[in-house]
Order: sequence, then structure tokens, then C-alpha cells
Amino acid sequence: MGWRLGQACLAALLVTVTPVAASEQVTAEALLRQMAQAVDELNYEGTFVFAHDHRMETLHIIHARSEQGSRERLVALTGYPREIIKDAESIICVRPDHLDPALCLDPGKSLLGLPGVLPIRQGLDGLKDSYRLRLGPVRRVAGLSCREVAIVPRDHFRYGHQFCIHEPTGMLLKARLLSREGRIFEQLMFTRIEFPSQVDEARFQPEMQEQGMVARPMETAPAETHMMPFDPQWQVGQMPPGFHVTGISKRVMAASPHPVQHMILSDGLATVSVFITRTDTPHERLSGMTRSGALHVVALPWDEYQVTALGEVPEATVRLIAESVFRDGENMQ
Amino acid sequence: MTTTTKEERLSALVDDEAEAFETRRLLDELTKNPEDLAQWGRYHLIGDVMRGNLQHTAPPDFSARIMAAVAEEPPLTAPSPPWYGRLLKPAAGMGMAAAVAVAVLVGLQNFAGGLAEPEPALAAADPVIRAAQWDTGQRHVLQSMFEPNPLSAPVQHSPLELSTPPVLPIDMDDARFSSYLLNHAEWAVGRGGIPPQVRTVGHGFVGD
Repeated sequence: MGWRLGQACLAALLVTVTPVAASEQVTAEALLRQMAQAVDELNYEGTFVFAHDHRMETLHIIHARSEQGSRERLVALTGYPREIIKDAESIICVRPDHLDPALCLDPGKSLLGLPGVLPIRQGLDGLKDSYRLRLGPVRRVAGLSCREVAIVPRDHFRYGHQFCIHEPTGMLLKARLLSREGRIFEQLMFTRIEFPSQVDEARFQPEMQEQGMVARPMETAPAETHMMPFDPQWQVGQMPPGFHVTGISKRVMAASPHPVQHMILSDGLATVSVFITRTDTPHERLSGMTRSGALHVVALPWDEYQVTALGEVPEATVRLIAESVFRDGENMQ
Repeated sequence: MTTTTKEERLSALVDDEAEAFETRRLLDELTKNPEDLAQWGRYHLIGDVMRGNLQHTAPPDFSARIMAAVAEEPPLTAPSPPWYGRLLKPAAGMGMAAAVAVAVLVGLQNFAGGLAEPEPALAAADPVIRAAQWDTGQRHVLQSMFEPNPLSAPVQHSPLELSTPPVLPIDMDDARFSSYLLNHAEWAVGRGGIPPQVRTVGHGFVGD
């Protein structure tokens, strides 16, 4: 029992531990801001383990920032050989020809890279109504010391995050996405990381170029996407507390031959996307749910349209949103 | 492993260091053995204290309410000599209430979310104790002890309870979903959020 009992005795003596001080809250916030910036703006190269449901994958990441924006290459070291090369213009998946393109995003969305994995892209201002920030102890990951920061949800409509952040650089070294009751959905942890001052251009060329491998763009790059006026008749009738619509657009996606209306809902941290598109035949319309890690997807038909809501929030949250989407006949323009 | 004490294994469970098989075995044991459950709860409490997570957990009059709960404990039914019965009863009562208190404290982190977030497809397979393993009456008792003021803290119902027909599983290995997932990650989460062309609206409805 040794040290654990020792810990127990110590804790018993320290029951009057003082609550987290206000100044520490500021630091937790500052660290999170620093992290959101660092994963995008730093040059780094390393290997991380990504655990997802009951699976574990290892990925190699090279990330560089230049005047042209950030570039990233991710190579899966486990499972099917596949890699993703991302820049401002495109997302290219290199994979065996026979492999389903969807598997390029396997496991989870880890192959979208760290900025894609991180939820904090919209600042932290609107976050405190729905979450609490906590500064945790100093830990050690990939041979570097890092400070733990937790984002704890205030209710069951959203999940929490635990990060371990390398204080000198702001780099994220370890992340966990977990439910309010402590169930871990996703974890990533660097096992090795370096911060090169320059990254050679050649590092962004695909290595997997042998026979049978194909390199294809995954989706039209945002910069080239043709935007259309969105349809104001589509509305979200009921949203879980703290959520509000933060953006709407309509554009063409690989998902459908018809343009897709994309509504973005956020509580300041968690984001739910609602996609609405016309379908041509009844068998195209799906009704059901699925999940991958913390990501929940609910698909429901609405007349001849397909409504699909997804986000890294509990099933109940996605479902509530998906079920309340409707087309308001009186809101015609 | 065979020389590992139960305390160490429980502690490992609390610290999330137990393997899946071990976790299942321990959880199974926990449901059968109240002493182990209490011990597990104490380890969580200790962990929470050490991590400073206790700040919002216990209301100010928590111990007073525990004492009130102790006072209301029904007398033991087993016949016992009056002299030591009187001495032992409060102690035993306190032991029970303390175990419940710990369960309540732990419950905030470990059960409360589960109450409102049933995930039927996963609940059975998951190495996590879920609220469903507590009988309903017990859960209500635990919850009611933690509601500081029913007026200011309304019970939140899971949308699932109010919801219409059950949703069926759909197949995610579909190009549509990977496209949606990519668009979600790229437009809503990644790349600095929403592009400038996209209309931003305020709270609530999406009217024009």
C-alpha cells in the first residue's frame, strides 16, 4: 500500500486545502490562450499516441508556420499506411488505392492534426458560463515538464478537457477529452517532440509514394469553396443551455450533389455542426445515430431534406439540436 | 500482481491505472462489497482534495446535513444489549452516513453526469461505473442531499427522457460522414473558426 496510504494520510491532514486562487484562474486562461496559438504557430515535429475508444494509434506530426500560413503533415505509424498533408490550399490524403477515403480520418479526427483536434479556436470569452477552468499540477510528458489545465463542464450537455501544456512554449503535450463523470473518450500524448527553427520543404512531401498509393484531395479547400446565400427558413428551434448559432453558410460539399447548408452552434468551446441538404430519393435519407470517440452524429430526415448534426458533445445534446431543426414556412424572403 | 493488495488495486482504479479486465473485476467487486465501495469513494475524495477539486463539491452546511441524516437513521432492528447498543449506534450510523457522503461527493463527478447521459449502446461494455448500477431510490437520496435549494437549482432532465422515438444506429463508414466531419472540423473547429463570408447571427433563431 506504501505511498498511496501515505498520500491518503497527507490528504487527510490537508483537508483544509484552499480553493484555487483567482490569480491561478488567470494563469489557466492565459495558458490555454497560449496553447491555442502555439499549436498553430510553432514549428514542431514529434510522435504522439492517440487513444480512442479502445484503440490506440501512433502518429508522426510535422508542423511549420510560414508567411503562407501553417502546414502540417501527419503520418499514421500504425494501421493502414496513410498520411495527410495540409496547408491553406488543400488537404491531401495519401492512402492505398483500395482504402476507403473515409479511413483517412481514422482514428477519429486525429489526422486533422492538432489544430483540428483542439476545441479552442474561438477564444475563451464565452466559455465561462458553461465551464470552469482549473489549473492542475505540473507533470512530465515526452521528457518535458508541463502544467495541467482542466476545462470542467458545468452540466451534462458538454464534455470536459484536460490538457498538459509545456509552459515555455505553450505547446500541448497531452490532451484528454472526457465526460463529466470522468469517462475518457480520447487521449493524445506526445512521446517525443522537437521544436526546429526551420522545417525543410522536403519534409512536407509524401513519403508513401510506392505502387498502389494514391494522393487525393479530401475536400475543396475553404479558399476555393463557392459560397451561396443561405436559406433563412432553416432554424434551430431549441438549443441546450449556453449554445447559440455562431455562423451559417451554404456551399457545395463532397457529401451531396446539392448545396449543403451548414449551421454552426457553439457554447464557447464545444461546437456542433448542423448540415442540411436536399435528397433525391427516400433511400438516401437516414434516420439514426452513430458515434466515434466523443463525436456523436444524429441524422434525421425532414421532408425531402436530410438533417445531420454532429459534434463532440453528448448524444443527448446532438439529438436535441437535430430534432429541433425545422423549416419555417413563414420566414420566407 | 498477485501480491498487490486490494487497497492498491482500488487506488489504481481511482487513478485510472487499472487495466480493462482488472477494472471490470474491481467494479464487479465494488457492487458486491460496501466496504470496498466506501474505500473506493474515500480514495476519490482524497484524490479530489489533493487536486483541489473539492471547491464546488460540498455545500457549506454539508456536515450539518450529514449529522441530521445520522440523527434520522432508524434504530437498529437487531436486538442488542442496551448499554453498548447506545454507544455503538451513533458510530455505526456515522460510518454509514460517511460512506454515503463520500459516495455523494464522488457522485458529483462520477454519477451525476451518468444519470442524465445514458448511452445505451455503450453502457454495458464500458469499464465505468454508471448511475444505472445504483437503484433509483438511492440515487434520489444522494441527489436530494446535494440540492442546496430546490428553487434555485432546478433538476435538469435529460433531453433523452423527453425525446421521441429511439434513434437507430447508422453506419458511419460513409463518404458523406467523412465529408461532414471534415467540414465540421475545418470550418467550425479548425482554421480559425468561421470564415468571413459566413453570416454570424446572435442568440437563438436564425431569422434574416
